[in-house]
Amino acid sequence: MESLSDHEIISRVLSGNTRSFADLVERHKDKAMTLAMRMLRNREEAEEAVQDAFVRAFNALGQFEKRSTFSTWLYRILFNVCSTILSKRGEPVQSISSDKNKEEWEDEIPDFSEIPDSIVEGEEFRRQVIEALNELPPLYSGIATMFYLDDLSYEEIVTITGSPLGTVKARLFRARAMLRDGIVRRIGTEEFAR
Amino acid sequence: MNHLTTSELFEFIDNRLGKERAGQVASHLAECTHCRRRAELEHSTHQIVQSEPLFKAPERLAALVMISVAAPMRDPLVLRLLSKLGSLVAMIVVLAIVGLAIVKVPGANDQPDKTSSSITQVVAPLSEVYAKGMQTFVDRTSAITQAIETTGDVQFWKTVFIIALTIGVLVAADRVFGKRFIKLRS
Repeated sequence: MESLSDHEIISRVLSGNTRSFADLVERHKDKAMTLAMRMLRNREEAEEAVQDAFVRAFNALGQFEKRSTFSTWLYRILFNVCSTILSKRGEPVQSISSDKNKEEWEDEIPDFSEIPDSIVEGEEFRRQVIEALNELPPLYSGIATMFYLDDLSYEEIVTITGSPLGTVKARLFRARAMLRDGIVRRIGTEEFAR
Repeated sequence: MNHLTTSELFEFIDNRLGKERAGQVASHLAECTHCRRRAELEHSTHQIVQSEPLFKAPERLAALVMISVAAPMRDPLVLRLLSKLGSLVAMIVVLAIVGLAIVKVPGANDQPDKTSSSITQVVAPLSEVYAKGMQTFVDRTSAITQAIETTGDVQFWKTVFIIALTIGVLVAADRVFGKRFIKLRS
């Protein structure tokens, strides 16, 4: 099977070969599902959100500007769909309200540099990292997923979330801080912190 | 030795520091085992999340998406035009009835006043409207029927109205419920 780039497939779809869109769905569905699951934590809602996002993407494909990647554009649509679902649930996507400034956040970040390799390299540490990630508030879990899983840049996350760069940096910092905190609490190694 | 702040360490790992500061941080990391260890653990965390298996989307997702996007295109052109025509006819009928009520039908006790607009007649002073409201409504409903009868075959207008209403309801039902049939849970 010939391997076309996302942009080539999009050109085909726009020129009338609409069935090619199924290739884009196949290519991106699992990563989209992962983002939706991390934000919504409900398989049924995540499946509906992903399907809805792909349908919206198809209907708006003519507006897709090839300056960005299809996955970034799709994520933006999916992020908005998930945000809407969370709002309907009464859990609007928003920052944790906090009076803490950056320095105070800094002081509270557990330093797990003393955690021995025997723990870090074990399966238990891996499991705790993922569980801690899954327990982050939806907004932070979504941002951390995009950052770690897809290696998205700050600028791409800005495009997806529609938030200013400074906000994205602050949220990513908090996400990492909360992730560390969750890991340390889980593996019970507070004694290693600081 | 002052250790790096966490935010600075993150910015270094993320390649967000300027060239000069990045060089200073790199030098610090070469000497400071504590900060180097912190950087390694951040790297480990990144790798763990990145290598974690993805959540699996349903196998039939692509098929469901293609069904969803193809549905509006499957309707023949004639049907799509008819549905639009139906909505248009329904709107015209409703506007015609409202128009007749406003322009042709004076209130029960009103005398036609050529100097004031018909709309002004309909919008009676608030102090009188409430008392006369219900009676006026009944009077005007029967007057509308009479007005239609004077314009021609009342059966014809009834038929047009019912057809337009039916098409309108069908179009609305399709819009509201159509997509539900092809949702994932189907």
